[in-house]
Amino acid sequence: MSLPLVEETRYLPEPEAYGAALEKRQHTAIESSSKGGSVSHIRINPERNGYLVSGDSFLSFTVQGTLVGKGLPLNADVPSSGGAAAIPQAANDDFLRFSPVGAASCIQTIELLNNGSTVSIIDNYQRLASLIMISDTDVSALNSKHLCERSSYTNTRGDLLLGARVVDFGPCTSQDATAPGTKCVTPLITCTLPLLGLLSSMSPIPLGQLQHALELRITWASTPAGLIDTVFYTSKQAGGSTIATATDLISSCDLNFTNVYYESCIYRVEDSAEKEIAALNNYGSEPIKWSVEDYRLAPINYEKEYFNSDSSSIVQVPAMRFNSLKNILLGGYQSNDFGAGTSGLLPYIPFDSVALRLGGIRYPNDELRSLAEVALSTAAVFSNVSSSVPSVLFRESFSEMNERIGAVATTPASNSATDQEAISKRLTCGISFEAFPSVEAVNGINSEGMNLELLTSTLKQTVDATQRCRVFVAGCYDAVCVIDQGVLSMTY
Amino acid sequence: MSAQKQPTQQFDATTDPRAMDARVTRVKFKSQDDRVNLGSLTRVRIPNVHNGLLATDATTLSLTIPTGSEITGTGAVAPSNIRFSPFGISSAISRVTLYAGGNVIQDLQSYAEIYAMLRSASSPVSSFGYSSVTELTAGGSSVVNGGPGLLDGTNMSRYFTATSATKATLAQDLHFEVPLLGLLSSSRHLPLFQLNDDLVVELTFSPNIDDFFYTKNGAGGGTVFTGSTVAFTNVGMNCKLIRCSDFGCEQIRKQSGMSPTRPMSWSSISYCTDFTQVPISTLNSGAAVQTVNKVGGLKPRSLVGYMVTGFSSTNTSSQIKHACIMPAHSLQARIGGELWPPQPLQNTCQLASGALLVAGGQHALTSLTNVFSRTASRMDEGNASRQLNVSGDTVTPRAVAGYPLCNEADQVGLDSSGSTIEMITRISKNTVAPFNGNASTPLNLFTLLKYNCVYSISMDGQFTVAH
Repeated sequence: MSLPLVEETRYLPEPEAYGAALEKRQHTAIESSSKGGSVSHIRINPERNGYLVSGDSFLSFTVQGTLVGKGLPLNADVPSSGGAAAIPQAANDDFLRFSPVGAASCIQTIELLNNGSTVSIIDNYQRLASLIMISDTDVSALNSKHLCERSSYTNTRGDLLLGARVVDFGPCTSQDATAPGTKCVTPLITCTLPLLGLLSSMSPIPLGQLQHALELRITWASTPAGLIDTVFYTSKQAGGSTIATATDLISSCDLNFTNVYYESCIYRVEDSAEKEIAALNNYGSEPIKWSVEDYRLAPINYEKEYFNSDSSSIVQVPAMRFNSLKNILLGGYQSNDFGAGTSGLLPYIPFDSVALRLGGIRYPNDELRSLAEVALSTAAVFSNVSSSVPSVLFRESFSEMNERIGAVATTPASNSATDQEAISKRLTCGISFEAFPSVEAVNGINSEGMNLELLTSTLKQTVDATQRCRVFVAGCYDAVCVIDQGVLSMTY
Repeated sequence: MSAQKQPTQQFDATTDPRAMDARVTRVKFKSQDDRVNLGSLTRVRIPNVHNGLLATDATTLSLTIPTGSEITGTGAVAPSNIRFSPFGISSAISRVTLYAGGNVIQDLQSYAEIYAMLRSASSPVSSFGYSSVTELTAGGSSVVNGGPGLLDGTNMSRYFTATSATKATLAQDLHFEVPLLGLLSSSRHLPLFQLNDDLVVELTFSPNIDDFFYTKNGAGGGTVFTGSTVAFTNVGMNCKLIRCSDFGCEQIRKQSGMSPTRPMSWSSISYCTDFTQVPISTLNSGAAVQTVNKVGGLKPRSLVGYMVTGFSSTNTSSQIKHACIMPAHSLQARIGGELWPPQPLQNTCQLASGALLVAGGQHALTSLTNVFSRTASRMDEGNASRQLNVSGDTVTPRAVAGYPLCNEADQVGLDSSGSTIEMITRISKNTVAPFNGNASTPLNLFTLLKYNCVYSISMDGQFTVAH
């Protein structure tokens, strides 16, 4: 038997690449500033011999919140009165936090258009980012993620998902001197984040083959009553506060976004290279096609009565018909604010069992019942399930099945009062339809013409649910981008 | 002369090809026993599914410790004193054997020890969060697994209730999903469609509750478990099955070069182990004692590397059973009379880096995929690892030594067939607090051999392995 010739003993030069210049470009939003709930528009123009590598590009913006509530940061010590102790300025500094999900919490919808038509749209973007963060982020990456996206940073144990302290970005201003802690304007918080879906593809978009500019529409998250805690939240639990008042909370939040731009990474290739690429891809004679991965979310509401008795349900999940549905991620979100130590953007599983039925076939055969089964199934969406490999942010005692989110349920055992400042329970459930996920190939299920149903059951807990739960079901699918007659579109 | 210029691959706009037509499903195959007691074995049969592949990337062992299980003892068996092994439920598995058609395909004895050794040397700290949920390892709320040396087991106070001063009762089911080492988590899916019989997974559970439960040091010190009703239910294999088409299976056979005269064969990593006891006198000797221990068992044809550590030789609930306690400060192997390496490995740096290279491969030294720690992985002369013998929460020893015998890239290991394998160690007393007290019990010196084996399935479905 001859010995195998290994890679280390093959002496060949790498082929030389054609000349290309890498340019980082800032595409600034048309609007100088936008409010929460409004839209920012960014145009990326066609460029001769230009290729947009969206996977190396990112969105940048600055957010500032005008907050009304209780226990908000002070800008000076509050003098004592009536025998009460003075309140030092730093007393409230720990309370106000930016969402653990970071910059993505500010984005409601990302839409990419070309020639006036939608190429790709991800609504409820902040939920998708949150589901993926919890399901596929290594703890060791949290700190660098925090630096760019202002998301949660890790403590020494990596169990609490603390939102970043707002005062660490600068002092809060515009306080009401007559009512300390009831009002403030946050510092400017600048964030950068890579965008999910088509705009994270490493396949370059040939800008030179487009007739019209790409348009990126960003719909910013709004924070009406019920969704106030999704961007800024107060982390302090009642009773542990240094201010002897009721639970500190935000009652109103107005967001303002400025300095919005898309920092693109564009390869500008030489003419000779463009000629080779044109020949390779048959520019002009046939449409240009390449594969990408994209997402779609569907919200399903479960009323609180569903959770307050032993129940089961089968709900049809809309809009999940794709040529290649790769996997499903789901998680529930609170529908009302608590302002008592929980961010509104951490997903949880309010069910005792979960399964999907696609085209009449159940996935998995036996429903997922235990926490271990759910964790295994979720990890298998992104990697193999060897004990060493999965990068999920689940934690024993922080991740539970049949969860009820509320002040009582946010206190896991064996945590000190300090830790309770920012309790961060989280769990997602993932189910993969891919037979060979490690292969670069389209191998999800063709769900066209099939109904996708979510099968759940729940057991009554000692603490009743006090609010409706919004469960978001995110489908990940293979799509094909097509440039035909100078127009970009996507089929799936 | 430079190579020809060409556009890089990313500028080749192509759609991904369709993968082989297949459907994925997840099925649980239950064991033959409804309830398996400590020390007992059970078997799970995975049938030779028509056109089925067993996807080893997402197949796990499922089991449950049912609610109502009791632990009794002397001293305060308060739930807050009870800890679960930092290495999780794998500490309760003492042996995993795979059979196919009557042939033993894999036999991992001392499974818990192998798992603890590999987990210490080849798992990133961040992975303990996930396994705290699936296997109840360290990594949940009660562990500091960053820089400090403590790798504390899970505090079981939220799972147990105090029935009396000497008895604690499990108040909820503990469910586990455990990937099994070896063939069932290898890089190749198992072609069940090609087998002529079921694949049988035989599991032997640890006889002792002390192997996976222990009591917190310090406040809970002095508690000794004297009995338990802990058993395992819902034991089974949670299998990801891929069902291919007839054409797909034919393609797999074709691509594997299978014919009536040539079986389907592939290489995989496996492990064999052996123990030898280090007496108290050696552990407590002021002068270094050199010992030559013969490693029994298999002599593989492609030995990739060896790893050595120590484990407690006694069963006591007052310490973590599978803490890796390497008592030696010098290590060298003699294989067929030849020394590997030529000079003995000495001190923590050499011993630990060798172990990392065996467990994690070429880039392990820079990839930080281990839970070694400055305080918990000491293997220096006069300060080599010893059993916990101090009160209060302290480090969980994670000292493992090793040496690679081949390059990770080529994986052509050393042919040890017919050779005698010996481990040469030098051991002396630990003179540095807090481990400078005299050892009161012997240690088991544990040797793990990592080797390449070749699995083969013939056209008529015979599944065999060559070591």
